[in-house]
Amino acid sequence: MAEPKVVGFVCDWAVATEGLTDGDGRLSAHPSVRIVRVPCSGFMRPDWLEETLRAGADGAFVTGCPYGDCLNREGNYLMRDRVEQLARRLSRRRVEAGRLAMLAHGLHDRPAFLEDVATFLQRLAALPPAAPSRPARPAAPAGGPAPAASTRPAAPTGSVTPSEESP
Amino acid sequence: MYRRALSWLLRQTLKLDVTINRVYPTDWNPLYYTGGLTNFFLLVLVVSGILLFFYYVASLDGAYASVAYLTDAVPYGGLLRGIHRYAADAFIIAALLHLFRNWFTDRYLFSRDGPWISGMFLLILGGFIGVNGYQLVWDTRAQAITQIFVQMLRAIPLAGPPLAHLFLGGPGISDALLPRILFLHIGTASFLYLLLWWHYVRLRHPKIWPPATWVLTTLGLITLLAALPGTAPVAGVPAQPGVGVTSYPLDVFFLLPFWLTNWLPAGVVMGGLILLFLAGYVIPYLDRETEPAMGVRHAGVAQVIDGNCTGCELCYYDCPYDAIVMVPSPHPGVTKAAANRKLLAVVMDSRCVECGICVGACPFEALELPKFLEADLTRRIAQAVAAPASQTVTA
Amino acid sequence: MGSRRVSFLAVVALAGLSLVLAALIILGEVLDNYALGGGALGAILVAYGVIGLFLRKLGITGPRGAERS
Repeated sequence: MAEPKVVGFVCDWAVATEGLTDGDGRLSAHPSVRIVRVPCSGFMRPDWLEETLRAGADGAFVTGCPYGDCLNREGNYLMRDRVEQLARRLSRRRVEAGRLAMLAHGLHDRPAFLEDVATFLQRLAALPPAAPSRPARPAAPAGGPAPAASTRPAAPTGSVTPSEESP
Repeated sequence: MYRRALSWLLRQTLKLDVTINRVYPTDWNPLYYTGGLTNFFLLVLVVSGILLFFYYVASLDGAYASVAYLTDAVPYGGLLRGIHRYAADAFIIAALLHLFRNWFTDRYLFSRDGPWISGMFLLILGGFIGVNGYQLVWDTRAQAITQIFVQMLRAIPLAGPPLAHLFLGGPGISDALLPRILFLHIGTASFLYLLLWWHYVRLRHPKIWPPATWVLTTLGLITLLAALPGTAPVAGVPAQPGVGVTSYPLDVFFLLPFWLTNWLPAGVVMGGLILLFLAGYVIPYLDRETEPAMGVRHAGVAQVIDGNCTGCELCYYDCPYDAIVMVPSPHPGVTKAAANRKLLAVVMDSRCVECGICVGACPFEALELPKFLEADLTRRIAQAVAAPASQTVTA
Repeated sequence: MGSRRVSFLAVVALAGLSLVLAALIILGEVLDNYALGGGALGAILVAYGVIGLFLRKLGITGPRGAERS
């Protein structure tokens, strides 16, 4: 079967992906994984991860520097907490928590990085396929946390909790 | 050339990290805590130094005898002396590791130069305090390094001779010397804490304490070195005025410049030291105009989008550099969520390192990095999701 | 599972060693042999540090289990 489609957000200072990717940011080892470089893992707003899933990706991961060695001191710890919070929030909406991952690899830790990505892909492959047609996010009202219940077709029944903590 | 050497050193540093991380959990990697270790050793020095101070007599006749009494007659006095000595060595080792690691991993550039400059002051004063500590014992080694140090001072043009006079408390070595050195030793050590405030001032959570395993291990190693017969401090030969000293045991971490005077005139060594430290101050500004290695983007100082800010303080709590301050809001925000805000986030440009952690912290889209906007990222996400991967079917 | 066992055995062995070292501290104190007492004190601290590492490897201490170790 097809490999799950994944978007990976990699910190500029974490694992170097030059040579691992083609021009479009596809990992050559796993062509279904696309890498997007960001200034720091802590730059990722959880909304964007949610949006990535909603736009049709099967999974998303963020890669920061090893814990304790963030160039910006705390970006990777903060992001780990945010990913955990987002996973909890999503699982309340029947989106599997396993679709999100936080990895931490230094600039020269490529083998371990690829290993972790492969593990993540296996985990995704074991999950039931994502809901086939998730509509794209409607134009977000300016302000306010993640858009509300109308964009949750993945939840089969109405047992969604609209109250959610801000990330 | 300089940049290529640095990027090679960066690669080696991080490869070393990968190796250490196989043995230790990553957040226990000692190289991530070189600053915390230095601070820990400084505390060990302060505590053991206070205990040593109770026994010390600051006079030419009494100094050596008081140290010898402490070493031989006081229970665990020799151990205490050894701990003070080896903690000082550990302090310098950890401080140098801290310096080189942050140099090689580019953590001193742009708005991170404050810690670098204060760190250079800390290093110079730390080395100076160490030399003073060896003078306090007033054995033959102390006598020799005092003579050499005075020669080095006198070699400085213009300011040198008065400085030497000031240092000695007179034209030559007299009873005025040791109280001065004791004050320089303790007073400068206290001053280190003021510099440490500067060193930490913009860090929200400075890592001032290493993990427990490293506290125990390093303190144990220091104690072990202080107690073992081969390495425990022994009383040297008391200083004899007027007698030339030909050789003395060397502590490579503090007394290296004095060793160099075997071959070089004292003035040259002093000039070299001054040049070395001046170069240290220049390091953060060498690379200013060029892109740092690793092709890192300059995302620009974070900007607050006034109309969206709700004054919720999330970015204020998450900014690792204390670069965001909350001020009373001068006017209400534009959006519904921001209409009733009491506070407004303001970014202090001089502290911002352009990391974008505040962007990730803000659920209200009130922060942006001007050269890497939300639109840039969402476009890239859309591209990544929409484009079919070569071997997969579109979902 | 093998490495867990090794860690566990290391903790037990180091704890035993620490007991001996604690006895040596007392012995040094009784004999007024400060080098022995100080050396045993240093060694016991090192042993405790290494025990801390192995406890972490066993997952007994440490901030979270989520990390790769």
